[in-house]
Amino acid sequence: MVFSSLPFIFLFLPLNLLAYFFAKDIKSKNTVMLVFSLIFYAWGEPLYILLLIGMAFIDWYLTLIMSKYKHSPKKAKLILSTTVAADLLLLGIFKYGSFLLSNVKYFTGFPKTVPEIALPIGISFYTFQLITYCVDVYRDEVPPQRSFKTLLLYVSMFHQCIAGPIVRYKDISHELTDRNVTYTDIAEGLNRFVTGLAKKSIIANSCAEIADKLLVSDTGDFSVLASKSVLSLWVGVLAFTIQIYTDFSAYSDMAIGMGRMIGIHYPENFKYPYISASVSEFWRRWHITLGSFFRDYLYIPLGGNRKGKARTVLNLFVVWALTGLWHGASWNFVLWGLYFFVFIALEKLILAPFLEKHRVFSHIYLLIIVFFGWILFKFENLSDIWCVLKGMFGCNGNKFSDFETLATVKSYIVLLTAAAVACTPLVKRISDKLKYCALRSVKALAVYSVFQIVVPILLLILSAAALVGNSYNPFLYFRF
Amino acid sequence: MNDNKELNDTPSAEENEERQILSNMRRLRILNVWYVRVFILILFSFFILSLIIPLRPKFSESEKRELAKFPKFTFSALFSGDYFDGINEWYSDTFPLRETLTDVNTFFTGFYGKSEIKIHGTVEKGDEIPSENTSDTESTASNSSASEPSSESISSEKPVNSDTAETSSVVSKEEAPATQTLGALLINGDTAYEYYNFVKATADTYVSAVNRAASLLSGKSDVYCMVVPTSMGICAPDSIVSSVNTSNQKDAINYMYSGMKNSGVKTVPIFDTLKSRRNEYIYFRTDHHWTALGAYYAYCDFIKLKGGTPTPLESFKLHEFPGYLGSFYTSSKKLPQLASNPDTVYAYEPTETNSIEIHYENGQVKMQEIISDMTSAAQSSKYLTFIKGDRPLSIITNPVLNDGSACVVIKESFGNAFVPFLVSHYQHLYIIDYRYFSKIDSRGLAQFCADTAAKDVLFINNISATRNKSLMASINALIR
Repeated sequence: MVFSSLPFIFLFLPLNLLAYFFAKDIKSKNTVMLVFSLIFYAWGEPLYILLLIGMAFIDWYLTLIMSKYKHSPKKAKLILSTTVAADLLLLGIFKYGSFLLSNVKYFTGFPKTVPEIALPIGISFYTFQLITYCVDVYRDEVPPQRSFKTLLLYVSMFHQCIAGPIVRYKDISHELTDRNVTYTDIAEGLNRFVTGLAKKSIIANSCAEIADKLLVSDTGDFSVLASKSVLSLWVGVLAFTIQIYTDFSAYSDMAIGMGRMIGIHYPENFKYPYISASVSEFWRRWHITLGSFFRDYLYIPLGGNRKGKARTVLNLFVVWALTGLWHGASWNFVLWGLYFFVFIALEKLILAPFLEKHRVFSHIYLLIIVFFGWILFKFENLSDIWCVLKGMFGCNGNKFSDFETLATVKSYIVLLTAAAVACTPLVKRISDKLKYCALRSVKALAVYSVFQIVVPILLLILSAAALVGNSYNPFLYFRF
Repeated sequence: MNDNKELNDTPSAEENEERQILSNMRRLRILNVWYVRVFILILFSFFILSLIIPLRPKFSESEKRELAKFPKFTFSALFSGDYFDGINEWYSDTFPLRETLTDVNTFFTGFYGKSEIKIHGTVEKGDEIPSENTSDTESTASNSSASEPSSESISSEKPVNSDTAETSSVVSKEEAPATQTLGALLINGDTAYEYYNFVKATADTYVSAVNRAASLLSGKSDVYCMVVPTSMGICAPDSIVSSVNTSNQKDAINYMYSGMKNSGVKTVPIFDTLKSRRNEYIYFRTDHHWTALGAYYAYCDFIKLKGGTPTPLESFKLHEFPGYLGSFYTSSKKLPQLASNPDTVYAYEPTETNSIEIHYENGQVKMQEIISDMTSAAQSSKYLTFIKGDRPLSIITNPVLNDGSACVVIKESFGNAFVPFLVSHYQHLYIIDYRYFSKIDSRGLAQFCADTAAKDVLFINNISATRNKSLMASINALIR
């Protein structure tokens, strides 16, 4: 089940809220959340739910043992390593097993048949969450969780289990057992949820349609790429650029919103990444919880930038290759990660002062890099990537534009513009401004009140309308 | 109040503002309470609405398809996740108020899709059309079975398996969507056209199937073949067609006809006739079919080729059903620009009889009308006036003739508007919809013609069907 689907919005969520608010104490509220989370996960993965529970159990149990060895760091470290290794091993088998074997087969011809292992949805998210738990307990930043039920709730919480944000245990550990909500919390949670819902079901899905039309649909015949006009490819990649941000950030919005509704504060995951002025800044605004995970649990333990330039570059290389690979078991994702490695390393070593000075240039520079980056992300096949790049510069022998391209661009230009605006903080600034005025004048308050009640409800209905009878509702993160 | 003491009369501006903020904050909190209540009320209204099973539609009139059914429970479906996916699909697909919500969506998306010319769906590039079909000129049963091993295997299985269930399920799974799913559409103002991309492999299947029919029936019946172009090939403005990615229909038909010329098939050249009358109302604007008038001109060509005299149009009884919005309208998600100028279905009732014996898919046989009244039918289904739509087998007996003449028509929906004109020429008309025939009858074409003593066999197929693999597989399976 995905958030942006009718069964979720009008069946699962109402039932969940109903049960939650009728539950009396925190214990039964948590039971409600756990049961719903397990159902949510099992709904999509009836068998892999056992893997999720199993991994949570291993980590819970070993971490409890580890916490008993506080005074013998060696043993604690050994147990931690075992736990993390077990997590990574399972992630490796289920996510990268087939990929690894097919590469081995490519070079050695063995094994004859590569087993197809279906990827358990969300495994990359919840594995990382478990790792933050073990490591933070080891680092003594948070006490271990004695109740397996509570830890399982943390890992499996349907808000964030399958598409992020990657929530650290220590960030919400106190809210897991002690939280309260006000109407304002619920109101803001609903706002956030419905914003995300509309972003996904209206903007992202339409952009996906445009990208599919102008490039190729995932199930389509990729050879059409060679016949696409120059304009078609540029606008197509632009539409994908907008799609992936509005889609992904929408999931985080919905997660954060649902958290707010029950008094849990998940960390922000996106802060308008496309307004960044450098690649480093982009990654502090894009999928923030992933970037900071790699920073705190890999880059810094590797020595970060404290061991000389050469080592820094090596550390960056490792981090970015793995960041890329995290997005999917395929070489193009590694390439995509390393592509960012090159620019981040360049920025760290040379470019940073220049970018600081030339703000306009640096914004354009960032957009161009990210734009071309998405080509590496979108197309798995190197030959397709090459074909698109050639086509964008008119080297496939096609016209600059053609009838279909112009017709498509014309009919979606308003939507694309609106979608581009949705990638900037403009709307948020306006609504903040309105709220600022609403606090100071009664008239503005009246306007604000109407907006506050009408807009979210309108968005809910429009989203539902967009989802009914629309088979086009892709879930992009099934590879993460 | 305390301030008044200190400041005698009016409080300072700052204090005023502070007080205003405090009181507005209180109001905002109250607003939030109401907002949450209203939102939750609406959310739960949808929730309850969605639980009222009788409100759920089973059939979509506008999309002309059965909506998803509640899945059957099996353990394998449960473990694979298909069962829950099925529930999701059922829940979304049959959502109460489905049509209203899709209308809301169309209305809303109308705000940003302002362009007169639109492309709907993904345009696929056609294969190169060879100038002459040389490979298949000597096509015989053995030849075609070599080139079409998969479809041959379907048909050779059939005699062994007297129960048609197995073979029909093989075909029906794929064919069911093919009947209503259109390819990409080009929408120009109030008129839509379907893209046609020539697919050599399926066109060759068609040619070899017709050739095989000629060789099977050689000496017993004459085989006629009529490939009907679609409005894209006939009516679309030249300025548009020349710049659009659609295959040349005349070349494609010539290619197919040339492949039949050495096997005794009599091909009916209707393309130029229709093209010369492109300014008449021979194709619908909102539907992919031709009108009865278009079919009439094709009928005249057919009768002339047979060496007969066509019945003048005036001698039929004219029926008029205005307000038709057909498949283009529904598959473009009800574009308002198409609805601005609805079609009218004109139907010509033969004078000899208006009775037709329909053999339904469930085995029922009923006497119906050749032209039925559609005045009060849904706006999307008025084309069903012709021979009650697509039925596995329909038989028309002309009470005026007594010469034993018989004709077998092998068609998909384009044939429906055509068949009524043939009534005066044959005592017996057998109309086979090759997509459904095998569900009720296990006979192949040769056996069927032998049983009915038909001297004429007419293949009337629209060009769009000749690029559809599953349709061509089922027509091929019939020819034995």
